[in-house]
Amino acid sequence: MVQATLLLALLSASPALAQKKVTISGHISDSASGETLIGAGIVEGSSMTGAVTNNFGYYTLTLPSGEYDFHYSYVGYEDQVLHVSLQRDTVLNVMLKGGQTLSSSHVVARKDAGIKSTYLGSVDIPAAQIKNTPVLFGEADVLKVLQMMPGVQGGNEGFSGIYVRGGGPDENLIMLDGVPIYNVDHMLGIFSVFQPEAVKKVTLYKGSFPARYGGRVSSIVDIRTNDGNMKETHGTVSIGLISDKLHLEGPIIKDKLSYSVSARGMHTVLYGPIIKSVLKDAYANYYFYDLNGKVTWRLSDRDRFYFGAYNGRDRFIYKENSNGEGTTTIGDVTTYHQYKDRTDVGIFWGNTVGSARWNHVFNSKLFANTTVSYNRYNMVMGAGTVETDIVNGIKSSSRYHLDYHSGIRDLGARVDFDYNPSPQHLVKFGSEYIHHTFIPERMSAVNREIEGGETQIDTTLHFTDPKKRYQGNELSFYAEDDFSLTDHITLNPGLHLSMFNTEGKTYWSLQPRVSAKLSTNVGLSFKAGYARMAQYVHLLSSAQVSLPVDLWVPITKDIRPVTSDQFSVGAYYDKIKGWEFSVEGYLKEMDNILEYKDGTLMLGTSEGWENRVEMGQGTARGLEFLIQKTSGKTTGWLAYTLAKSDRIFPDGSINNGERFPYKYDRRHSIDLNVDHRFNDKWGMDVTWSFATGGTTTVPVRQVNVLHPDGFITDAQYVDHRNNFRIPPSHRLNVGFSHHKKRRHGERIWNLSVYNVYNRMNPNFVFMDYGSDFDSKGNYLGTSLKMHKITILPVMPSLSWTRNF
Amino acid sequence: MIVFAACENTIKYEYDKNDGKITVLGQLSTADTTHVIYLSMSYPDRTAPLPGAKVECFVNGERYLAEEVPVDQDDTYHSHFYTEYVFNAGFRPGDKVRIEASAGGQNAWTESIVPDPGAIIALDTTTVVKPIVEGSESYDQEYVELKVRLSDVKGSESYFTLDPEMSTVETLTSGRGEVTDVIVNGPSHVDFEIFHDLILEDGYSSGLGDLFEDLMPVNSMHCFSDRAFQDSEATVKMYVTSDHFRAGSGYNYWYYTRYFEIAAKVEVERTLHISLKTFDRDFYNYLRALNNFRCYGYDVEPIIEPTMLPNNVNGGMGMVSISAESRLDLKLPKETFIRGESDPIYT
Repeated sequence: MVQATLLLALLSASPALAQKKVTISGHISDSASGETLIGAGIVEGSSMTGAVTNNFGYYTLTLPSGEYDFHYSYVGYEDQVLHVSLQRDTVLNVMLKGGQTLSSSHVVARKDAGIKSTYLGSVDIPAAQIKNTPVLFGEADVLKVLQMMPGVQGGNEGFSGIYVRGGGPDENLIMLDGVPIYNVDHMLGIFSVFQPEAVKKVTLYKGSFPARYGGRVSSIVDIRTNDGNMKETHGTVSIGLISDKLHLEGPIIKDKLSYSVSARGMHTVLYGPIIKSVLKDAYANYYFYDLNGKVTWRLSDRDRFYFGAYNGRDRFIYKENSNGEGTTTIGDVTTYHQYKDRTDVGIFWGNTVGSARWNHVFNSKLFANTTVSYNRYNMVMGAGTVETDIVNGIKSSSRYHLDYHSGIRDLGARVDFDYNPSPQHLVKFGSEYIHHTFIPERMSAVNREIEGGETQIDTTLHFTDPKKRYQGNELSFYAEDDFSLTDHITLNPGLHLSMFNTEGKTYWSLQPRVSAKLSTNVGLSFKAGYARMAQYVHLLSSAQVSLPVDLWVPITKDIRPVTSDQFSVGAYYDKIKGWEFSVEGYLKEMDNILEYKDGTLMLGTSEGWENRVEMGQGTARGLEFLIQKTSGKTTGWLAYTLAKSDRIFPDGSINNGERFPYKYDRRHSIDLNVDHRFNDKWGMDVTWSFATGGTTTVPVRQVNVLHPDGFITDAQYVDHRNNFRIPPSHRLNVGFSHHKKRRHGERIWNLSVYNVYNRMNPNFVFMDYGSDFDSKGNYLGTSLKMHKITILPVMPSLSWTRNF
Repeated sequence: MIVFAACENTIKYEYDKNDGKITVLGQLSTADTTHVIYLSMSYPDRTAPLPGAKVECFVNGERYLAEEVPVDQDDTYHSHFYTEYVFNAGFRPGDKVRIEASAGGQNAWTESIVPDPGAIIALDTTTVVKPIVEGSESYDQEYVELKVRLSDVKGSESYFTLDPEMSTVETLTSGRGEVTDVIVNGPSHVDFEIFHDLILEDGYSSGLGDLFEDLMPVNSMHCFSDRAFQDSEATVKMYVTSDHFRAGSGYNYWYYTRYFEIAAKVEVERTLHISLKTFDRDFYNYLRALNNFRCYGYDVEPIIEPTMLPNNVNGGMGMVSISAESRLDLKLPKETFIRGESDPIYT
């Protein structure tokens, strides 16, 4: 049964006039948990005028005074209709009841993403969709679900990096509750750092970006986490093939103060001490963990506070001990000696994020969110040996230790306003400041030797300047207005002004954004948009997987910000209940895009990085088709992308100045995702993905090279960069889940099979010389062989989850 | 688990084993009159020498025919890779030089204009001590600092190499005061270091104490551009270990005193030559590619952005460069070793 709490408050003292404009506002929440719902809709039945909740579950709708039936709806929840006599500004908090299957939501205006919003290339992904999608080792993964969206692809097969509309992996702004996260990967990128249990909603923007976002040129991934159950305590325990998970949430003060905590860790976190106790002399362990925590305080209908924290780490540890003793006799002299050697190697990397948010409702038309945040990513690598010798009671020891450290620290403050002056306008404006401190790398070594109690050597060598760091100040202002020109035309013009200051140089960027939507009465709609974006940071990495030594660096006085100009158009159809059809086309021109020069290796060092990259232009274009079924027992989508992405560096330093395909230029991508609920107990999820292979560079012939000293040798000759297209990848993943209601909560068994038909998809390719033999085994000679390495063949997994 | 699951397979890759392309290599200089052109055939999986080819050089239209150098039967290494062709000609700045090579039905040619040379205006030397860090060890090393003042070629984008060379004249005198032998060595290249000289590093790591220095190429070809001193002058610093400048130091001392078995006195006259070669952008990019090869090897590695060799040969492959060379010579003090004396005499 629908629960509703109707709170009426007099917020305006204006005299009562016939047909005067009044505003209804409030929060829409889950009835069971009190969790606010992002993107939930309110529609006035007769005029179909509507609004949706913002990232904090708050909505506002201004109408002439009168009698109205308001339809409240949200995907996966039962609709609720409330009759309201709206005579003055009214606060109406509504609670919706969640359903077992994804249901269709009413048509609403001003959705922030998706087919009904004004923005092109935007999509909302509810947490339920993420949890249901079968993936590797049974670990639901936010970024891998995003990879199945049109225009988004993974870099390396099976890994979680995302490449959006021809852009690079560092061109995506991935935010956790509004705070940018730098390292989003665990285990070289096989998993992302986001725990599905802690995630409420994920929104992806890849086309006409809202003006409130900036700082990256290819995509915005806005991940919002649970506030915590305001009604009662609930939790989830899950044991999978790779990791264990625990999620708890509940009220501290019912309907006022709640908490939500999630923890995930590899089994080796728990079993590490056991392994260590068994393997005393040589011990190695790797694990990762994630901890999310959030406290929500509903002080009043006007003020809400959120305190969030995240800490995630990957750790690799290796320890080795050896010791011994003995005697040596030479002539009459006997020497007794003991020794102890200890070797320690450790690599730790990860993020720590903290944020505090204050929502304040000034009045029914003005909502503000103020955020202060702290974000730190660091990587520490240490290796050391300690040797102790005791010869006839005289002790000598030596210690050598090497430390490597890199990281980033951001301190940010942001204020966002939602202003709803009339039903036709929703104005968003605000500002953000981030102070970046980049420590690209520090390396030092300590050497100490003590003999007979006296220090013989005590040296500390700094291989890099220990005080070296780069500071960056990023300031931005934005304003956008989502307004309805007519019943069928909505426009969203916006402006984002950003400034980045580093090394005494200041870059300014004025970024116009505009989207327009034309709706028809037959379910067809059309959109067009333009967005300019600018980016001030880069990720230095040569590897095709995420490594801890990948380094983020800011632009410099010599390296200009990357900019992109994207034009997109789209056509959409949603007349059939529960179905959505869309086709979008885009053209993206990127300038000052960076590419590594020939012979460049970017691993663990930023030394002189400006000299090892070249600035050029990139072009990406494509067509994206998406069919989505959004409600019923069977939901999912079918996506097809036709895309082309290339680069050119006119100064000739790369590929002789000729245009060449981007590393992840994939012409065709198909993604199918089907989620079917047979009944209350059984569910099945199937995903199938196909993608044309990316490109790589292979030698085409052997050639002599002549050195200035007259020395001649053979070298492999490359005619063009990215001259070889890797074979296509495709795989089928299937997951079955069995749900059983218990006295308290539910038990779920999940069986997933990744890459069901064991397709040998290539993760890496390389070329070498191999021997040829005939059918009788006779040696025929050598020839060039192309090899592929497949990291992820068929992988079954089983997980057990208990909700309570 | 993933490590155990990973597997390797072969991908179908088709190529024509007999798809050969003629390769022409040469590094010509205005300082030389005898020049060598190296010919070979490039195949997808091998290279092969190219005997019996016709190689011609045209200097402003005037033809010079190159002769094939017979293969030294003992030099099995070289004979497997390439064939040498030699011709005699002199080049001056502004000359149009064309090299044509034809063999096996293929015709390849390259044409370029001899560039104007940059100039070495001045050379100063001084002795300095630099701390050297190698792993966890550090020590002091004495160097002779060569401070070279360069002048760019006005009105053009120019590329250079700067190399120190040493030539030696050893005069052996018997106990009766008769000169018994005069031995001339060099000029030969002298190794030098760069300590964070932005022009000479040319964007590369200096290779001295840098983090992960083994992973980064250094400017081992000593090529650099005039970006930092276009149409003007600049001073660069090279550091040569001081033992190169004293025949009487360390190993060198024992090298010369071995002559005391046949001579009573050995006079050593050494001349330091600083050579500045000026060439075009293609050859500059070629040298940068060689820097990468020296660091990472000559095969394409998946993790490293591939090195692409520039070509300036039409109808084939390869790189034929022509450098305009200017030199500055510095005579070092004469050293005299006398049998029975422990130290050389400097004059």
